[in-house]
Amino acid sequence: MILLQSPSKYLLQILSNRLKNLEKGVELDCQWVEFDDVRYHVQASMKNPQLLLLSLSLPTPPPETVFIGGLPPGAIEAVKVAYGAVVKIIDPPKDGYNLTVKLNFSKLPPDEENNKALLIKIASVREVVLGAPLRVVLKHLGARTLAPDVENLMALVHRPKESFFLVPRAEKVTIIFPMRFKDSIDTVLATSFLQEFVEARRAAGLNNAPSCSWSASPPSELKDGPAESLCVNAGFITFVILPRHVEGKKLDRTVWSLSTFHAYVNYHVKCSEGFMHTRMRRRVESLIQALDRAKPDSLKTKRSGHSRSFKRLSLKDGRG
Amino acid sequence: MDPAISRPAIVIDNGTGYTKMGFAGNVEPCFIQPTVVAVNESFVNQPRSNVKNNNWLAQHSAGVMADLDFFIGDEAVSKARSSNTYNLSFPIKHGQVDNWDAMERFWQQCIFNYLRCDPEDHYFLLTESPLTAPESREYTGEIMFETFNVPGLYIAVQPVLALAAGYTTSKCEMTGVVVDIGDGATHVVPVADGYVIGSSIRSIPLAGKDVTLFIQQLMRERGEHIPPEDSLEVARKIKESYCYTCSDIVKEYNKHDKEPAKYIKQWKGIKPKTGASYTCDVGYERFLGPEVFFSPEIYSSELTSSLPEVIDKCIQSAPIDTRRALYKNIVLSGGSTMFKDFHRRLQRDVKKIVDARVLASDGRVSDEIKAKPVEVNVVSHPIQRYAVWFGGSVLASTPEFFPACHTKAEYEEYGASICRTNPVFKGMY
Ligand SMILES: Nc1ncnc2c1ncn2[C@@H]1O[C@H](COP(=O)(O)OP(=O)(O)OP(=O)(O)O)[C@@H](O)[C@H]1O
Ligand SMILES: [Mg+2]
Repeated sequence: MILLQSPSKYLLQILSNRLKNLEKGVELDCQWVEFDDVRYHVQASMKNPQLLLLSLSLPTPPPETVFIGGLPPGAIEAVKVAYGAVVKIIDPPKDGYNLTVKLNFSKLPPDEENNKALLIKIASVREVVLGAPLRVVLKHLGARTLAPDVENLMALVHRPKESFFLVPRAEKVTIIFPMRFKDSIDTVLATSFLQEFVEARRAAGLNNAPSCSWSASPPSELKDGPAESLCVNAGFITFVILPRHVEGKKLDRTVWSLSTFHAYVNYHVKCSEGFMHTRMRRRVESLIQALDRAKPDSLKTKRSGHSRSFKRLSLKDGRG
Repeated sequence: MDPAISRPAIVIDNGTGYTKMGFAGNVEPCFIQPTVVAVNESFVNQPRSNVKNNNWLAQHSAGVMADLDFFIGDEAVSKARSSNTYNLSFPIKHGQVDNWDAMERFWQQCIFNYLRCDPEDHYFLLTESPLTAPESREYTGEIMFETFNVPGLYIAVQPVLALAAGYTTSKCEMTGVVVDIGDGATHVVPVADGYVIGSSIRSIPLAGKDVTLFIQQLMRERGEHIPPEDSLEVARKIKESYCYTCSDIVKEYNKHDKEPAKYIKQWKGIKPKTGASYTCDVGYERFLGPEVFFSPEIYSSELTSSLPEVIDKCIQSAPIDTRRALYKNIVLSGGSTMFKDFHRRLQRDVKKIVDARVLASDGRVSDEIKAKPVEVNVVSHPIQRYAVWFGGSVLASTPEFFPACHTKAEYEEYGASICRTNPVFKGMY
């Protein structure tokens, strides 16, 4: 329900439409921005309809995170593994972007099912690229080993100029999110949401989910972390990921959910606000109704609250 | 500087039938989805006005579930078709928001699930019909600023955007008459230098939905075998794929009768319940559908003025010094102007009315002061279907757009009433 899916709906739609109309491939040039400032640019020409250029720009990394050649470590390998011959990395990328790839539709697998799966994977490019370092750590966790030369405390980019932190061990990985919100009401709602979230985890039936905790002050793992990262307004949330959380197919889901955690909380906060407004509107409406009922008859037709001006202008009346 | 300014604005044109949404600067909207929400009402078992205190909690959690369980757009339509637990709710009726709860949910899904953007990161351009009440604009502002925390909001009038859509095709001409025929409303709106001439707006209670209903009725009367639960949808698809505008209805009947093989089309469908396939013929409705705009009496005896007459009356009621410019730039917008040759027929019929009037007045005066002929021009372009959205996309990508928006800070300082008006800005004229 209120979950963000990994593939970008729009990118998937572009790719599927293109594939359906390869012969009459039209000129294409569009750009858009997703949450956490991930930008996309898609270009395709009439001359080479089977080719499509996809550029991706990532959130500005905070100083404590490592970026190699403008990308998170392991991203290039992850792109190659995920897409094989269908995708060619263009070096250097388009100006203003972190990664540009050339997609060749004629190299897509012939059978429809694999074909569709690959398009979905391409539409999930943001997970493949941004989630690459996390995936490496969690993959090692699945094998109960430690990735070579990992640090005690790793910082990975989460949002523009914000990171989340990893403490990798062979038998468990601890993940800490410093949570920040811009708006004061959001901050209050998010804080209580996070506390509820931790509470809900304790309920029966969720015993297999990663354990999590919330604290207003930085957890001990972060005591050596960079000072800016300790400055938050909605506390810190910590997850402990065990090997069973990254088995087989679960790995992808875990990588995606963790690397978009802030967006997930934000989405919930906005839904709660919408929810409260719905309730408030209903309340106001029922009060107006009550007031209307209480009015002497002569006044009733004249005033019916705010709906009056709608009524005057509605087309239905013009019809009669 | 506000970093939101460096990102493209979100442009959403919510129509009675379809919502066009996307990012400013692009040529096409990302998604065109039916404006409909499928809500699960099985949780809500009591009318909310008489909720008793004791079951408040049960009611509350039922409400929570119902609030989460909903779909929008095509997904909503297919959910409602395949299961009985969902009811369709159409938040917009005749171009006006009718159900704010549904509207808010619809926006929520558009933003988070379709466009996948963080509403705090982008300025928003929304659209409204020229008849929208200021109160409605306040509601929109409230939802956008308080629920979604948008940094800036501009609510534009649909026909003004449709005019701005001509921006890239020729030099921007912000004087003209916009004929916007969508799904639920038809508006004829004169605009001079980017300002709507409010007193001259004309509306006709006849739009895309009525054409669909008319076709459904024609086919039913002829006894075509279409499963009743599907007939509205089939009528709409037939309308969108086979209808065209004819130049003369009597001649068209003759053509059909002489060469039925050429003019009668076959529709193939599948019954939703049994999965069996069926076919039906598509005949006269191909040209009778669009004809309702030119001869409305064939559809309803209550309607007397045809679209060309309404356009003419609209221009005649505008200030005299704008009239020539208005006749010269009659711009089409909306899905229901997409019928083949629609603009030709409209141009011919408006010209006929104008010429007749000029002739009549010429008869009364001497030769020297004969009027200059009036140029009538109906403009049609390929992006007509979503011209409003496209105009929004063009305007919202100009630098003048951002300062013209109401910002969150202004909203907090002055309240929702600031949303009542939106300034016309450079780029619009
Ligand atoms: N190719 C086509 N030919 C004819 N009609 C079409 C075509 N495509 C779409 N329509 C019709 O256009 C209508 C939708 O148009 P549009 O999206 O402009 O309306 P809207 O913006 O949803 O409504 P409104 O502006 O009245 O609020 C529908 O009735 C649809 O059936
Ligand atoms: Mg419209």
